[in-house]
Amino acid sequence: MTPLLEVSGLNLAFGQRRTPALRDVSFTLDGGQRLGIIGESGSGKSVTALAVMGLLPDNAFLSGSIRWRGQELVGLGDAAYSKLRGDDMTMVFQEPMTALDPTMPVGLQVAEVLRLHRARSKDAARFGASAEQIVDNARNRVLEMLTEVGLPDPGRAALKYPHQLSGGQRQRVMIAMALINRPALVICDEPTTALDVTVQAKVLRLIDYELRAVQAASLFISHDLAVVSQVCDEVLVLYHGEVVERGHVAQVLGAPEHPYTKGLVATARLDLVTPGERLPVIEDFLSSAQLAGGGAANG
Amino acid sequence: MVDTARTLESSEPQATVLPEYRVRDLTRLFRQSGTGASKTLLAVDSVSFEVWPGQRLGIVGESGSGKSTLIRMLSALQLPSSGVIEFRGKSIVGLDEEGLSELRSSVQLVFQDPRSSLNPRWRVGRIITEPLRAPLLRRTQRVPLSAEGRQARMYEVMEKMGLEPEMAKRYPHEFSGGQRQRIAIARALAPKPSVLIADEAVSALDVSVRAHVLNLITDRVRDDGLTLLFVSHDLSVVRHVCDSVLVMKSGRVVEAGPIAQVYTDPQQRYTQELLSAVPRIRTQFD
Repeated sequence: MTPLLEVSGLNLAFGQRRTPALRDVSFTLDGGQRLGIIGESGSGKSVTALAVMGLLPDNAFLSGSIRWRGQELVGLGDAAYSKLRGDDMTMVFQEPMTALDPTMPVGLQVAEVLRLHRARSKDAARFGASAEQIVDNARNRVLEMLTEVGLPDPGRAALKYPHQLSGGQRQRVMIAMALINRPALVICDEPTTALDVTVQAKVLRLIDYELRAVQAASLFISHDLAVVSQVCDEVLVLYHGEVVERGHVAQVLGAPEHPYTKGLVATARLDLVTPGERLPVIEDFLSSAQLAGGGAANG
Repeated sequence: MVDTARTLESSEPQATVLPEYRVRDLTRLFRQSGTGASKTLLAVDSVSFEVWPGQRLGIVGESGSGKSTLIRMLSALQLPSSGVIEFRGKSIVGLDEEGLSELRSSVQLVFQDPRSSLNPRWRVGRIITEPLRAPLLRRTQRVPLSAEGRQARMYEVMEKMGLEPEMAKRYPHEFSGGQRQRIAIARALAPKPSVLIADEAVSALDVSVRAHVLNLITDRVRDDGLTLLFVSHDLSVVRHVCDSVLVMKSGRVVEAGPIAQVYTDPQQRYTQELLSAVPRIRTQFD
């Protein structure tokens, strides 16, 4: 069976820079599967997501292969890509304040995703429905979705602008936008990093529930191993643009093999360190040769 | 409703020592303009506590619980609506900048986002030495008055924060998030404060970078004998750096006590919720 997403030998470099952002990255994702991508800032997590979504800037040199249901995406034209994006393949970004349009009520923004792909008026004739009916259906579907993601009073919330909502509510709107077309893949890029722990816990539960509801696969990017633990079954560790380890979450985080993964796990286990004692840092686990492996590794 | 007595007994030294801060019934209202009738928001509601020299007090709560408003009042960046704030036995409410000189020279702040708290047009060296040039601080005679003295102090704090001397010539955007936060802490330490207030200082950092910055903060607090006020939404981080904690919800302190006690045996449901919200790493197959 063809996997949903098959990335192989992906190399990426930006502009004149000599150090590549990704080196020979390969992984596959089956339908409904959730793969966490972990690593520090600069390890290549986000650019991997952008590469899959076809959202890399013009100065990016991408080689290798990204196959979506068997179809090659590297080199795919923008028009073909936009049919896919927001419909079969969607994304939840870290900062909803910049990802949402500040000048448009959030209900309209959710409706736009639906309208672009599902309820276009040119389809109206084909289905024998009037334009009014299409609009009505879209409105109902948006309200239904806003209710589902747990926005209080969705009818009124739909009319609000992003700045009138809290951080957690904005992230719920983003999730509604990402899921309204029942995609096969949802890429989440640090979706809860800007939120505090209680809101984060609620949003993670929502993401888990929604992914299950539409049986979507997910690439879930985070620097926080504990967050990835809650959502994913499998995890991929990126270091300086290279995959250093992949496996079941419990396997990789419980018995990490690569020194970098060991370091990542150790720094996250605040609970294992006596309060006030020195916390382990990644550098403790890597030889100086590994640290010099590429770019600046210091915090 | 608050059992502050329980907390502060434990850390209370002999009566001859003055607390760094004494806060009584501190309240701050905000008028909310907007749709129709004006509403008011009680950001901080009748909060009382003391901070003793050398204490490491964590202030925990979710967004909107009043943590940041509280520390803005403690650092005289915002006026309280009512209540008492004494710094070393003297009220600081309503004082002019002249009257606040002791507070300004002794209390330094580190904020969450060093991208917005460091001047992007200044070189790191100028950023770190800026507090040393402030006239109010110069008058207290606690800072070096000569350019050479300032530079020596700058290299000293940069070294303590693990920053290379040549970094003084560079601009904030040339650094990673963790390095920028270390620059912000170096700036805070330059005038030799006795109280360091950190407002979500590690919340925006990668987990791996967070460990490094927390180590540096712990070292400085211990070696320089600093009093620490550490604001965070994450109780596991507070447990690591603090000895005591105030848990805030909707402007009120709902639980207070030694951190070990609150962390292992939280009395309030809200504290239990905060604790259980901290995600845990999965290391076993379920």
